[in-house]
Amino acid sequence: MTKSALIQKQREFQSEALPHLDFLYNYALRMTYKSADAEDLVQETFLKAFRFWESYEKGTNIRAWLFKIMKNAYINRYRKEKKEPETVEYDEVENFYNSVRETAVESSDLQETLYNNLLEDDVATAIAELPEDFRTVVILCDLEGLTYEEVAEFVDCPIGTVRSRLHRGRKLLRAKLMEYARKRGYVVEKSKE
Amino acid sequence: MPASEVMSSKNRKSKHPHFVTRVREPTVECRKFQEQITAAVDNALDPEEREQLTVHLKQCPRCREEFEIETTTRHFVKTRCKPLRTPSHVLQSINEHIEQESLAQNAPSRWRRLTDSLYFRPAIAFAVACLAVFVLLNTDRTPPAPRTVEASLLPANDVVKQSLNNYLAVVRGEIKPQLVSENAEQVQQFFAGKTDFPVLLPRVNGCRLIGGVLNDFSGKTLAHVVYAHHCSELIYIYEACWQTVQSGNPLQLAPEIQEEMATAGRYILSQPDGYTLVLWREDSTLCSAVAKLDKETLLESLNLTP
Repeated sequence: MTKSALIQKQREFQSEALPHLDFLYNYALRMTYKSADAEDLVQETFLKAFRFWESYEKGTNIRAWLFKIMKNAYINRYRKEKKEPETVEYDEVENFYNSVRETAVESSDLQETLYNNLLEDDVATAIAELPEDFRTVVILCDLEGLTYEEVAEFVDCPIGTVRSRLHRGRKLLRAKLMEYARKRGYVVEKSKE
Repeated sequence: MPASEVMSSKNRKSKHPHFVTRVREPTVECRKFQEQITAAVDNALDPEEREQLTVHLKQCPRCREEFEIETTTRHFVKTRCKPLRTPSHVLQSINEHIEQESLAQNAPSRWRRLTDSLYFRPAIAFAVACLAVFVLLNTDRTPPAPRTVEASLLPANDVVKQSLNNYLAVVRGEIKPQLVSENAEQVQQFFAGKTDFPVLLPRVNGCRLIGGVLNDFSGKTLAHVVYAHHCSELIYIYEACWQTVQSGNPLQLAPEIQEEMATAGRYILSQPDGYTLVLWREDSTLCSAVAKLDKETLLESLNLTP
């Protein structure tokens, strides 16, 4: 590669890819829960992206492209380390959620009371504990504010799958949040009459 | 939900203010709308689905509640997980790596630059191949680099630094001789008239000549002679004009080394890992020999023992 081509590549990369650094960092942080891990992951992602910059099709969704690189990097790092169940049966999620809910509260007002007892870290932990597929869509949709169509493009899945993963992911997340709240010892002052 | 059921649920609730009653089991109908509730929270339903869900929510308090709780949760999670800024050192490190990578892609390696700097005349391909094979067969393939702080701190035009670097490049096969010959006369002829100093081809004990290289360094011609020591080690001799070195331009030699040469007639630098460098002078020729031999063996080979 000639010197001018390299400078051109560097400039393109800096103006097109680097603006998405925060997006990827936040995603990595929520996925890994640890800032050091997130930093490593983000660095690895951007260096790979730079190396393979030629393979990025100009004009296509660059965030989705970067996201896929990060996803692979994440898989390489973490799936090796801990084997987590890839899929969770829907009934399991449903049952877990219902069993928690049964002994908890049933109105959204009380839900808020309950949530107020939670610390910021509880939320981060609860997200980090979700199975990977659910965690991914919950982060992308709920935290990053992507549409279902965008999430579908990011994770290479039909929209229906995104919707169902999001549904299960959120239920599981709610159940976990309730569990944490219970551990923190919330008091239900009064129920809605 | 029938009115009577709603009532009875309320009654049970009031009896247990701190613990809410069991929630009614979701019906088959409710299950059908579960995922749609999620999508409704995200405002991602198509009009037909929205219509159906609205009808269901109107008649099902459980699903209405479900919708509200999901909305609350989504909002709560979002507000509790505020996006963070990437630490600045991450961006800095990425930029540095990119810069390095660009340099690595663009610029040849240090050794490549070194060999490129040598002005190779058209070399005989066969001879080159022969030496490459010879070097591979007869030398330690991964000679550890001499590790002296002094040597690494020397400027690029320092004779000691150049000798050490060139020696390694020769051993690695990166600098190949322009003339391959065991015949001293032939080698001498190759150098004849091309340098502003007489090139020395010392008789080196226990060694045979391999060949020579000429190159131009900032307008000054340098000569390089390579010997094989007992078919196992290479002795590399870097030769330059003494007056040029003394003038400090374009080549230089540290004043303390020059002093020692003036008093002792030579300068010896023993490197860790068994490398030795010997500098000596004959008239206007400065010789700098490097080999992976101990000091005594090298001096003896070069007939430089006192």
